[in-house]
Amino acid sequence: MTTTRWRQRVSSLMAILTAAAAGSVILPLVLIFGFLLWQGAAAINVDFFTHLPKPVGEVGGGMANAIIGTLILLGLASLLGLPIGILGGVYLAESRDRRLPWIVRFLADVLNGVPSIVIGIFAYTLVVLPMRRFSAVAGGVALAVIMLPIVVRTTEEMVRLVPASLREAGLALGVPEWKVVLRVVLPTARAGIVTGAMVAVARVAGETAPLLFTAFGNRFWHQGLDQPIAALPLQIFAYAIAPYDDWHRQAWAGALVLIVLVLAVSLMARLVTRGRVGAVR
Amino acid sequence: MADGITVTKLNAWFGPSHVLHDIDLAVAPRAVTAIIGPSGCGKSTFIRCLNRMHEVVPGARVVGTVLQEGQDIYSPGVDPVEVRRRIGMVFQKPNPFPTMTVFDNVAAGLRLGGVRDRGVLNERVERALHAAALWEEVKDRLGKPGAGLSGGQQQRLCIARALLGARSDRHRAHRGADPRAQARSHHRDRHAQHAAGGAGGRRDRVFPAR
Repeated sequence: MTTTRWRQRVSSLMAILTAAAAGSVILPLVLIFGFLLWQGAAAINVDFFTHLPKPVGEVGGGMANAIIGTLILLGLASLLGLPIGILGGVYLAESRDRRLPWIVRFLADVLNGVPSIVIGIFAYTLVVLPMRRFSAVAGGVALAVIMLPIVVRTTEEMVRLVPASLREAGLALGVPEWKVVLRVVLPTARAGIVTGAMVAVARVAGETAPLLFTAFGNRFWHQGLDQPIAALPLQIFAYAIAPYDDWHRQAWAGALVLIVLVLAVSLMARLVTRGRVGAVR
Repeated sequence: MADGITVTKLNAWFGPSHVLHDIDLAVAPRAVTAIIGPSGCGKSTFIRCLNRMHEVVPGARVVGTVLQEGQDIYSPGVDPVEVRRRIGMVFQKPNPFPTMTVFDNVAAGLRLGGVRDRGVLNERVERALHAAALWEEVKDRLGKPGAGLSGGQQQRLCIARALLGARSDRHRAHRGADPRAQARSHHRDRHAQHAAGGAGGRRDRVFPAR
């Protein structure tokens, strides 16, 4: 009897502890979001989404160019990084060869740990120097390189999660292996792969350092992919270190928009993974 | 023996472990052949050797001959994909494709083999489901996920799926008009029904795919 009481007490204590730990995971986000709302909401208005930044000294204007710039950069990065990452991940999961996948996997993990500013320097050397100017493309390349290892590894994990029995069912029907991968394995892993891609996009959306000397930033509208382009993180950085109160307010507002963007991408990932016909167990 | 399966001196390995030793067996055509034995004795491995599914496992190896319709399916020029089109397989555990509906599961072999014609698909799928004794239970939920069926129903779904292998439909499209071919497919349907009768049990089945 007493042991039962004791067990119940330990059980509820552990339940409280784990719940508290789980709660503290979301606490920072809630605080950040609340703080951004408090500081930045006032500077958000229609102009913020539709207007260019005003010249120094003038109050008002917006970050429309930076919002669009960030979307363009994310598009470019996805265009470059997702196909390579997903195909590479499929290779890692499906290849019978042992050595090359091992090397790629190891190096992808190393690449994942490379500081993003170093990747910025890499893109600078690879794209900016030969082109002799900062450009949207250079920014896209830098972000794509950051996305690659994330996409490769999540794709690989998701493809591996597909039970061997499904692969065998396909093969036993007399379907060639490539077709089994394309029509059975990939659709089964689709939800996971899409989530991985979205996570990668969300991850690079806020990157600032690699854009400093690739996309460079721009106070005007987008002028072509081979020209410097504005990006929210860059604009936030520039405004935050400037000595004007109005710019500080706008920097807060920019941060708020950025976090909402990331939130939206993550939410989309959740929605995509839900309601798929019998996701992999 | 031209029409059955003749196995001679079949040996199979998983990596270094030698699991099948010199198996000789003749499987009669148009008959149900059952292989029994204690668990882990190699029944499934043996059956997987009959349509070249054993070699799918990394490190697995087969030596020996398996004559099917007079041809050794292990002779060098033979494409394993081609063999599997002719000899279907139902596994011990039901493994319907989770992303596909009941209909799509059964039609998978044909679709992946390039059959697009909706009429042909409808007719074949219905016939296969009848043969697997599942039609009555699923005819109103063909568009529902295949994984949503009960365990036994899933297994019969897999039987129906195995009946429609990925064989190119070119020559089979005319099968309907050929009375002999019809008789043969009818025969195979009866085999399937036989097998489906005991679908509650757990065992692998090999089918001549139609």
